[in-house]
This record gives sequence, structure tokens and C-alpha cells, in this order.
Amino acid sequence: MISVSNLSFTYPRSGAPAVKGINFDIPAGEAFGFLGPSGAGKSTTQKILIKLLEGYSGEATVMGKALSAWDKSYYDHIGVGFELPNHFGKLTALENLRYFSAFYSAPLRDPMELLAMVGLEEHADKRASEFSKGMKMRLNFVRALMHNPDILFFDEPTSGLDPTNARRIKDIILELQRQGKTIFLTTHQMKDAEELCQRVAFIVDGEIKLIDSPRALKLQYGHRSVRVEYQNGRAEARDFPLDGLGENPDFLHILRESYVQAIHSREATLDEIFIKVTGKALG
Amino acid sequence: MLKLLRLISLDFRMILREQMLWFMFWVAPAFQFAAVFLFLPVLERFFPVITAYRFLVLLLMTLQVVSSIGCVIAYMLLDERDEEALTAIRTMPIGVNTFLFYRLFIGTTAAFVFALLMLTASGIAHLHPAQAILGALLYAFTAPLATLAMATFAQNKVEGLAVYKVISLVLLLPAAGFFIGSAFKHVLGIIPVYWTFRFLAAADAGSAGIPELALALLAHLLVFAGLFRLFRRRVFS
Repeated sequence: MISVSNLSFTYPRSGAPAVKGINFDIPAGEAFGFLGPSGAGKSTTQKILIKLLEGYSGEATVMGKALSAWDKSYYDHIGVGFELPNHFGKLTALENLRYFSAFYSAPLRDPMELLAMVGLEEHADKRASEFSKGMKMRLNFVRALMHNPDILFFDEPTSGLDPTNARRIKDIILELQRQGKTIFLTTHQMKDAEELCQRVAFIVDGEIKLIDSPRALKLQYGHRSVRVEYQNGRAEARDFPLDGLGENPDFLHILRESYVQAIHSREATLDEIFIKVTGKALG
Repeated sequence: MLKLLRLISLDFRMILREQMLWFMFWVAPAFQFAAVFLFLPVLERFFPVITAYRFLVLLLMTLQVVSSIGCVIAYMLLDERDEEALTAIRTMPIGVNTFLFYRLFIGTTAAFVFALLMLTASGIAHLHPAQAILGALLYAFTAPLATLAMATFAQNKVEGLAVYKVISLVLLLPAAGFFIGSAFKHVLGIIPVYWTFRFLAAADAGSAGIPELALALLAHLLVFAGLFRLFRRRVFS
């Protein structure tokens, strides 16, 4: 669906390239996470893919067609959820969706249904300028879905949201995946990526350091062991190798004789893997 | 067509919801109309010397009307730039150029209606109906130029106000052409509204004013093309 080969981009009046010869392919129906710290080149790559930046080198094809060959009809096929709110502040949420809907020729989804999806139906007649950042982000998010596009680009879709609304947005993204949409998710929220993406790419200083599925990465970089936390007069914790765990006498003894509080498998988190692979922390 | 009407209706709501915008769109032009229709005849009664300049007063007041319309559209664009709404529009199938043309078209149409009213209903200018329409059209073209100049050179609405003042002064300069006898006055022709004035003055004097009309159209087109490119480069690069 999306194929990028040797893609590079340097901002005018900047000596160093923001994106340095990156390569990746995203098949149709995949949710692909693009992870990296601020300034890593995530948003630049996304801006190239949504045709907001020109003057790149390398190849980028979307739906089998070179990005440069697409005209404005490209935007009938993609939906973009920006990192920062961008609405007409003097218009209400409903009026905003109606305004933007005037730019499409295809049939669109009911704006009230979209607002209800993200819990904004009660605020449909409130001006966007009076919205909190979280409400604006939710309005951003549903605007991307208005024309039912095949490919969705989301830049930090849960940024500024409380846990309830972040959950709501993630559930919608999971549902979009089930519907077969291709999703390009830019984020530095590793937990979001882990939950929502089939594969993730780590990008640092404009270079992709690694691409794989979160599950494969967690197993590859984790410890094959479990940690048991238990009460035996006092709080204690012990690690046991996964291999032969069922026959491990010490492990079985703790299970039988102690009050077990928690058992955790010790696969690595994406945060730990990111730091290990790139030598940099997210932030 | 329905979509266009929806956009226009929502744009007018935006104008009505900000005090400064509706003031510039409705109240300021109303003052200019009142100045020409009500105060000018009274002033002429007390100061008959003004009668010789009533045509010039009409030209300048009409100019104020159309430039304030241009200012309103510029303010809307500056707001949308601040709110990043223009970036969102860049990811819509319509394209940002079409949106900009739509916005400029709204301003041009409103300016045309106001200018035509001013030129015909005041009874000051002696114009053939076709010349009045063409004159109003030339005036209307000043609105998108003012819009683009403001939206290009101002970073925000506060700067926009300062730029608007400069634009208003620059637009007044061609009036000096009426007081300069030599061909040197044509230097003012780099400001397109100079040719609008010359066309209307020729028409008022009974001439067809074809050369002035052609030069006016050319000057507006050239300045528009330059400002449009500059706006795109400054705002979207």
C-alpha cells in the first residue's frame, strides 16, 4: 500500500538532512508504527507521505502510484489526523465538519455520528475555540475519518487526551484495522504502538534503526524468565527461567507454600528495546 | 453549488462572530456610504469649493470600502494560518489554491457589489452602465490585492492591522495623479488602483477609456500574480 525507498529530505536552510535514505513497505490493512523521539524525522516522513513537503529524494509510492504522480484526488484516499489541533475556531464542532466536508465530492459520513464516536455529540454546537486541547484532538481525529479513506495517517493521536478518551481513540483505531484500513501511526507513546501496530519502525536522527513486530521484538530482547512476587513473612521476589518452569522445585514450592502476589513474564518493553537499539531515550 | 453556498454561509457566520470583522465588513463601509450620500452634500452647501473634488472624494471613499473588504478576508486568512486550518485544507481534495481563490472570490464579489452601489447610487459620477460595472469590477480587484498583501506581509492579526494602515496609505497615493500635470504622474501606475482612477476619470469625461481599462486590468493581473506567488511561498514553504 505504501512503499518507501531510499527516501531523504533536507529542509531549506538546514545543513543536515532530516530524513536519511529510509526504506519501508506497509502492506494493505497493516497498522504501522513510526516511533522515535522529537526531531527524529517522524513528522517529516509523514509530511512527505501526505504531500505537504516536496523536494525529497528517493522513491515513495502509495497504492501503486508514485507520490509525485498523485494529484489532489490523493486526498480522497487518505485521511490525516494532525498532531496539533487545526480548526476554524469561530465555528462550532459540527460547523467545522460541515465546512471541511464541502471540499469532498464523495458521500461522507454523518458528522453527528462522527462526533458521537469520540464523545463530542453534546458539544456539537460549541465553538472549537472553546474546546480543551483534548476535545480539539478528538475533533481532529474524526475529521480524518469523514470520507472513509483507505489509508489513515495519525500523528500522536492520543496526545493531550485523558485515559478514558485515549482508550476510546485506540478502540476506534483497532476497529479501523479490523475494517482493513492501512494505518500509519507516528508516535513516541510506546504503549500505544505496542497495542495498535502490527509492526513498528524505530527512527532516530533521520534513520530507521529497526523494523519488526512489537511481539517479536519483546521476545527477542527480553529475558526468558518469570518474576514471582510473594509474601513469606515479608515481601520477596525471585526470577525463574521459563525453560523447565513446570518442573522447577523452587518455583513450585513458592506456589504451594507462599502467598503469591504477582507473576510477570520478563519480556522487554518497547521503551527498553528502543533505548537498547538506538542508544537514545524517547521524549 | 450547494457546497459553495454552505461555505459562503459558514464564512459569513465567522464574520458575524468576530466584532472587528463585522465592523470592517458592514459598519466601516456604511460609514463611507454615509460620508458620500449624506455628509458630502451637506459639506458642499457650507464649503462650495468641495464641489470641484466630489468625484475624487467618491473615488477615495469607494477605495476605502473595497480595501476594508479585502482587510476582512485577510484577517480570516491570518486567523486560519494561526489556527493551522490552512494546513488541514492542504490535505483536502480541493487543494489550497482553490480555497484561496474561493476566499478571494468572496471578497471580490462583495467589493464589487459595494463599489457598484457607490458608483451608481451616489449620482456623482456620470458613467455609462457598462462603464460603472467595469469600474466597480476594477475596484473589486483591489480587495484581493489588499487581502494578499496583508496575509503575506503580516504574521498575525496585530501585524495585520499595521500592514493594513500601510496598504491604505499606499492605495491613496494614486490620488496625487489628479494634482500632477506632467506625464510623471504615470509613475503612480505601479499601483493598480491608479489605472482604476484614470479609467473612471476618462469615463466620467465621456471617453470610452479603453486604454486605461486595458492598463488597469494588466496592472491588477501582474500585481495579483506576484502577490499570490509571494503569499504561497511565505505561507506554505
